[in-house]
Amino acid sequence: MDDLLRQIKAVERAGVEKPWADLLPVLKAASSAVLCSCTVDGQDPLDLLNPKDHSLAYLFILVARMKATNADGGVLLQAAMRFAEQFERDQVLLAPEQMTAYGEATARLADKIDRPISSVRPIQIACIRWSGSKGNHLTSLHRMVLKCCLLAKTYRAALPVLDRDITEIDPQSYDLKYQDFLLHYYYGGMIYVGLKRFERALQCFHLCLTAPGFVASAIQVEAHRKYILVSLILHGRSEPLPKYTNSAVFRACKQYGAAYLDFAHAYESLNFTRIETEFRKSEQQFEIHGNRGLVMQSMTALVRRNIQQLTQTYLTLSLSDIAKSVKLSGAAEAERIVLQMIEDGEVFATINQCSGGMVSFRDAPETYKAIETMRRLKGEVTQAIDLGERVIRMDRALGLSKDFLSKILHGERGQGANIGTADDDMFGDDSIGEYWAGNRGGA
Amino acid sequence: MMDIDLPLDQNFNQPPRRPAEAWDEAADENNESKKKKTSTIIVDNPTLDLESYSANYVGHTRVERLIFIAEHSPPLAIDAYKIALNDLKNTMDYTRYTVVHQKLNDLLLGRGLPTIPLDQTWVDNTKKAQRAKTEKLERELKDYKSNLIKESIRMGHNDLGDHLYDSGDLSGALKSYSRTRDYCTTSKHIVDMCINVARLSMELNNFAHVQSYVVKAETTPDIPEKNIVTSKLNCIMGLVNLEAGKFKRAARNFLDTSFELNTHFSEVLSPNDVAIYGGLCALATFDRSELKSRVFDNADFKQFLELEPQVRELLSNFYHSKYSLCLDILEKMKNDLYLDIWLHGHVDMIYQSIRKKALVQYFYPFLSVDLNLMAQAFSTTVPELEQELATLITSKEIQARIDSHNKILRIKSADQRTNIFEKSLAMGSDYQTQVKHMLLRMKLVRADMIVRPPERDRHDSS
Repeated sequence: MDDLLRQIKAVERAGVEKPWADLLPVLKAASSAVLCSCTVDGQDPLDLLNPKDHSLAYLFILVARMKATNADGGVLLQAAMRFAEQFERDQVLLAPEQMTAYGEATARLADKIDRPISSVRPIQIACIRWSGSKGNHLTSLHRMVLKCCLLAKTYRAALPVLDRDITEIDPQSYDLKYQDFLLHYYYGGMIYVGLKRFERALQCFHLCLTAPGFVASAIQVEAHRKYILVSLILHGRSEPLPKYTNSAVFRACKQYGAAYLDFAHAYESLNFTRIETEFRKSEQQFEIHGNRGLVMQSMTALVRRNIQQLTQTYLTLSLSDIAKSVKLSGAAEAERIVLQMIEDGEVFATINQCSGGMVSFRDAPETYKAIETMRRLKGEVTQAIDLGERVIRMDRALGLSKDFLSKILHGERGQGANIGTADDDMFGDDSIGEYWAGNRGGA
Repeated sequence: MMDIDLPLDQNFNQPPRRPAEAWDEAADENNESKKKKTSTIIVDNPTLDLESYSANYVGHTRVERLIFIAEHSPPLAIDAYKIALNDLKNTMDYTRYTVVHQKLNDLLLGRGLPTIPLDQTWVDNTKKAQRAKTEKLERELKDYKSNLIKESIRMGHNDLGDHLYDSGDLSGALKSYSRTRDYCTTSKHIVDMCINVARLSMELNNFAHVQSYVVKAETTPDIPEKNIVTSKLNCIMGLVNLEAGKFKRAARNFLDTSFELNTHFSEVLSPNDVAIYGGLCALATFDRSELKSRVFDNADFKQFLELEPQVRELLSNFYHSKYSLCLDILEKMKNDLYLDIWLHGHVDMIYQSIRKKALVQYFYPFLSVDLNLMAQAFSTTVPELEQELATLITSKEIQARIDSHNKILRIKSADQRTNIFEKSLAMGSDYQTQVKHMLLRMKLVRADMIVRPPERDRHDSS
């Protein structure tokens, strides 16, 4: 250990351009016994090293110690926290797999002392700091943060990580596998469901489902089940999967999600008895998959949706009529739900108690006449233009790439000829297909 | 009322996805339930005159229709069976004769009337004669075949087909007619063959088959007596579409039928039928301008309509917005339509869509309508009318809202500007997510993060 420490300090003193790169093989070669030991005079190396200056070494030692069977949860979690707050990004970028190990070990330790919540902060901070200043890189820690949050039921803690859109994916620097991507969006969807932000949840599941691939992953099958239920809650019907979905996923979803598809079908019919029978039929399955809660939510959403539908049809309607047409127990329940919906801004209506509970529906007060609206519109337009430009840039880069050019030259039946249309093609399936075909062709 | 509205409601929430299919599905579902229903529907007070009705038809369809009427209308049953029996006696279909005879006697027994004895000698004689003729024709055919004269072989098959048809062996006849196919030399032969096959397939309820033969006949060049032949084909297609619940196409087929058809096709349907089927289907599916251009300005169809003054009145009343008159006529016609062999299963569906269209058109010129007045015009009650309107509004066929408190239907003042804002904002954010997701997927592919089977080496495909 003393040896090692000396080397670490030596590297720092040498003052070369990239000192830590030299240290990496040394640390990698060190056995876990060495890393876990103390100095000769019994001092803890974690106290001797500074997590900011010696991030790399600190990380190695910390991970080794946390992995050890007799690890002391409390102390090490504090060290983990210290590390998360102070590490230098450039150093840890050299050893991404150690970061993965760090996340895993932290989560396991927290689990061991039965306080899953204590791992949330360190991993969350480490993840944010590692992910770069814009936070747009996917890291292997992302999914761990989300999982910890789910286990600890602190959904909000995941938002700083989750609310930033991922745009960069670099498997080498961040130790990523495709599972990391799928799990990130699967857990992300679950967290948004927990927070009732269904729109984002739907997007997450959607991304998870449409990830490119040859085969279907179990994660995707699970995501599909939740995707159906969430889209029922949000839109009242289940959208078919887009055509760029991997065909294996299509098949797997049909096979394993049959109960959900049946339920969705019944749901779309808006026929209460049919929904009820489908629900009874597959209730156990929903329970086993842990989706029963979502199913129930979708059923309450139906009542609200039906009431909202009434506002399109009626100007005035008595509470008892509302109760009748959406099959509620009576006027009192109808009143409760309508009141709630008015409060949530889902319908715009007034209830007149004088004339025996007559509800008058009104149009949405939003008329889009404020300056605020114009500003919002302008912002959206700029963003869209930005995106469009990014697509064009990417398209050009692709057009100039060696792979693409060689493919054109070898004339693979002119398949690549329409790649220039990638920017018109909002869905991008063509270009992905092209690129993918190119990749395979090159192999 | 609720019972009828709920299934409708279902169908209307689906169309945005696959309207055509949803419509067909609906028709199918309704078909089934209705077929079950009509077998129990009994028409007690038909206004039909059997003699004149049956005079419009010849051959199998006449017998079929009579039997159908007998089974669904007790007051007409005995007479219908009797006429059918008489008809059958002129054919060689002795099996059918005995079956119908049995039915008639059962019925007579049930009513305590004296039964009619079975003409056993006729049955025996016919049986012999039928068999002899079959053998004779088959022998002849064999001779023709050994002589290899195309035309004779064709004639032989045709004669055998005619004979088998006459004796009630439909599938045998169909086989004989289809065999003529290889021996057709002129386009007339081809068309004859096609019509024969289509007609038989229709009797055998094989509608997919019918369609392919009709198409074949239509594409044959230089057809003699073109008007009549195409009219026949149109009628066949019309019936096929009607049976499949595709009323709009059926309407077009019937409306394109030329009046020259007259009684040339009475082994399938009468010109009166063309008027009724065409008129009702058109009413159920055409909009006002289509009605004018395709029905009222259609010289041929006008002649058909002359045969069925009721249908003519119905159409013109509808066109002139006299809806209560129109609904009265429909109500009067209903019983007879239930007794029609082709239409019975679709009557309710057609009636529903006519009613719906009437409601939509009634409201069309107004800003607001008093529900009480409207209910009067459609001879219904206000709550029922409200239900009907609600369904129409949900299916977006009327742009209006119901003031249930004051019982007034008001047009919805659509604020286009707000709509546009809402739509464009939604579209914009949709675009953004789509593009973002697309870029992300491309990144995934680039980074080679692709879902693979686990046992596979990461490197062997990239």
